[in-house]
Amino acid sequence: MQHFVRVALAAVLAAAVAGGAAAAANAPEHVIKYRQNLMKAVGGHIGNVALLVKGQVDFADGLVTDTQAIVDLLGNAGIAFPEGTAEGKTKARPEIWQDRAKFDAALEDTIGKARALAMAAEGGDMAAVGAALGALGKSCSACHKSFRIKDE
Amino acid sequence: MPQVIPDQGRVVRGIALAAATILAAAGAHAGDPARGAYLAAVAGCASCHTDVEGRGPPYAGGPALKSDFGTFRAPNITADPDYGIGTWSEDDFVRALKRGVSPGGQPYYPAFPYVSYAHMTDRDARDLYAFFRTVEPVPEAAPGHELAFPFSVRLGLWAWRLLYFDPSDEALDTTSRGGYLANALSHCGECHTPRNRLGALRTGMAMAGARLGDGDVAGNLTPDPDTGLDWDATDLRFFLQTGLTPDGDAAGGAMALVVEHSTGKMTPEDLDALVAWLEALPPVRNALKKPSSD
Repeated sequence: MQHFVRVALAAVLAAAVAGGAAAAANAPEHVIKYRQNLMKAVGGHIGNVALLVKGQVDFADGLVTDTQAIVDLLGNAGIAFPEGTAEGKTKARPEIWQDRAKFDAALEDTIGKARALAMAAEGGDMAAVGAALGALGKSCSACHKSFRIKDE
Repeated sequence: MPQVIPDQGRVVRGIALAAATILAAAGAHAGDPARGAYLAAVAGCASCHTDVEGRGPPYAGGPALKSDFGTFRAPNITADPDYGIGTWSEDDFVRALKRGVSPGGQPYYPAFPYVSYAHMTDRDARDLYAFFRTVEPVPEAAPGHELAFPFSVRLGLWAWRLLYFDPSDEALDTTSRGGYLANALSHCGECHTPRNRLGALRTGMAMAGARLGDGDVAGNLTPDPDTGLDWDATDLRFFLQTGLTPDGDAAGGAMALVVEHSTGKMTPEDLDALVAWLEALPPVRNALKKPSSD
């Protein structure tokens, strides 16, 4: 009897987990969390490139990894802003969905600047890396200005 | 016999223009437009007077600036005689800039940072005038302010000035180059220093951060360990050039405009002076921001 109860309970639990996961995939709050983690990760890599450019660390060997990660992660940014995720604990402005073409173009510009940074990193000329990082920062700012809600 | 009566206004304007041309040709006290162009950048004039996002022409009128008193829109300051400031004399311009009074004698709202510009040197003000003479005229009216009563009544501004505007006030450092940039020319305190309920800067809390009318927060720039900025000189300098924080975040909001139009264009010497001045600020405790969740 005890065994039966245990098996039944396990089955119910498994079904709940599986069913719960299926029902909850891409819930707005999780998509929001996903893109926040993604943006934080991009920021982490940009911050590390900046530490190198500023001469605050001299880990030049890590540079290519950081710059490539920025390109890769920004490549995932497009899927992180689906319709229906404008509400909630997010700083994403509704203009993203009202003017999607403009948002996509802004993101594409940023990805282009990230690629240029990765190429400069491959080249190894730190002055070029610094300039490319500045251009990337400008592109990030432009997009934040249009599509990110200001601090509250 | 029909008499030809010349349009007096046009004649006067013509004479004034001729006089200005002669004066400029003689080089007598004429401002330097090239130096003025740099000063206009450092003062960030374009941040308010150019509608960058709306793709407006330079200095032909700015985007909405939301405040607790309503929405301000910086006017057309191109050299257009009708819609800009093309007919202004140098004295008109200097008075507007440093005293906040229009050529017609109307007081400006302190959304125009004349309280900071009051500490600008006459030479800088004249060079700015010379630069703005060269700005392509745009014959279009900029949209006006949209203010709530009673702030919509300019008469009240005279009382405000009596209470809060003292151009000889030396509470803030404007003599060192860094202090001059922060408190006069680049007017950092206009956003980063908290204001009282009537919009006057609380100079005792200079650069300690403030909540802005549009919900944005201008951070506490003082080195208070809990609520201030813990960036070193290199971080500050890099941020003012690129808009990138040590966390790798990129400034949005008004500071993105400041970096784009003002600090990002500063000479290395001016940047160094501003950074050194910021680094030397006394710590002021002023918590503005709840810990960010993202």
